[in-house]
Amino acid sequence: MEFEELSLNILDIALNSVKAGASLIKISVTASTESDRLVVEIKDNGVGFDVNAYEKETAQRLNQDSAPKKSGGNGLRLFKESAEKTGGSFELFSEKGSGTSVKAEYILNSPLRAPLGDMAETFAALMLSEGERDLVYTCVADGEGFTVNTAQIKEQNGNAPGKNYGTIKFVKDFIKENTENINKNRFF
Amino acid sequence: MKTLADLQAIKENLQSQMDLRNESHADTRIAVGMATCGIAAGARPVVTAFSDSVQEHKLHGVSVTLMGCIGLCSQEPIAEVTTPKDGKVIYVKMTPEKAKRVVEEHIIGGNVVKEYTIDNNK
Repeated sequence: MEFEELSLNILDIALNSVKAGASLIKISVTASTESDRLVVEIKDNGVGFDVNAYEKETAQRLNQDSAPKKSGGNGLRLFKESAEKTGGSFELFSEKGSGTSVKAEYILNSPLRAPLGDMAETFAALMLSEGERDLVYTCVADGEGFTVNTAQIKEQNGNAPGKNYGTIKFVKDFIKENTENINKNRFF
Repeated sequence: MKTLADLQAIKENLQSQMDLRNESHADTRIAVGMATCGIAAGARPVVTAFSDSVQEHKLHGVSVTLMGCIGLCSQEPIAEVTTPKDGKVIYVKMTPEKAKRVVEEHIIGGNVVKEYTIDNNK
């Protein structure tokens, strides 16, 4: 199994951060023609986990052919594979108590790189997840970019608690328009 | 290009919605499965369709949220709709179009869209 869009991998990984109780999740997408790289980073301040134990468990699971193939816990592996098959790399840092950081580096022009896809939908879905947290998304392509920060939006909305579906729609349109403006079908 | 300053306009719009609040939708909850299986099956545009539809119809008291895997991966995308009138209804193999219909017929109209429920898709 693999995701058709990198933005689906990003949603899947960022929802791990939600589960980890993060009060802040930062997502960045950076494309560079010069280095031929597309770098995706997801950082949170959630509970973190023991990376060694996770890797051991994953290896065991892959060896158990008879074990039922549950979809849970596959997200990180799918994300890693999506980057490595382009000739890129993948890094995972996590420590109990100090959050998690995941970085996938893709070869921008590799024919094996999945398209970034709809980050506006991914961000909107994250805004719909249960509980309160700050979400930051930064997208840069060859030095041109934009940022969305839900803490700033909340302040402008008078710090009203809970979800505001009008705001979510607005943010979705904002990301869509700005992505098109910097992308012009060149990068993602 | 839109700027974040446009949010002021949204805030005013929100204020007017509050005045028109419709109490009959209180305690209505829509939860869409967004575990890896749900995402792969197309749950993301389903949850945003629910959110957009709640916004379009200016429904107050309806909460749209995400949930994990409920062990029915082959039936994803799954949406659980809970209303005071009908309790919890599980809709399976959802699409954005089906989501809009569920909002209009089940949440606004009060009639469960039976053809999409898990009981009719076994």
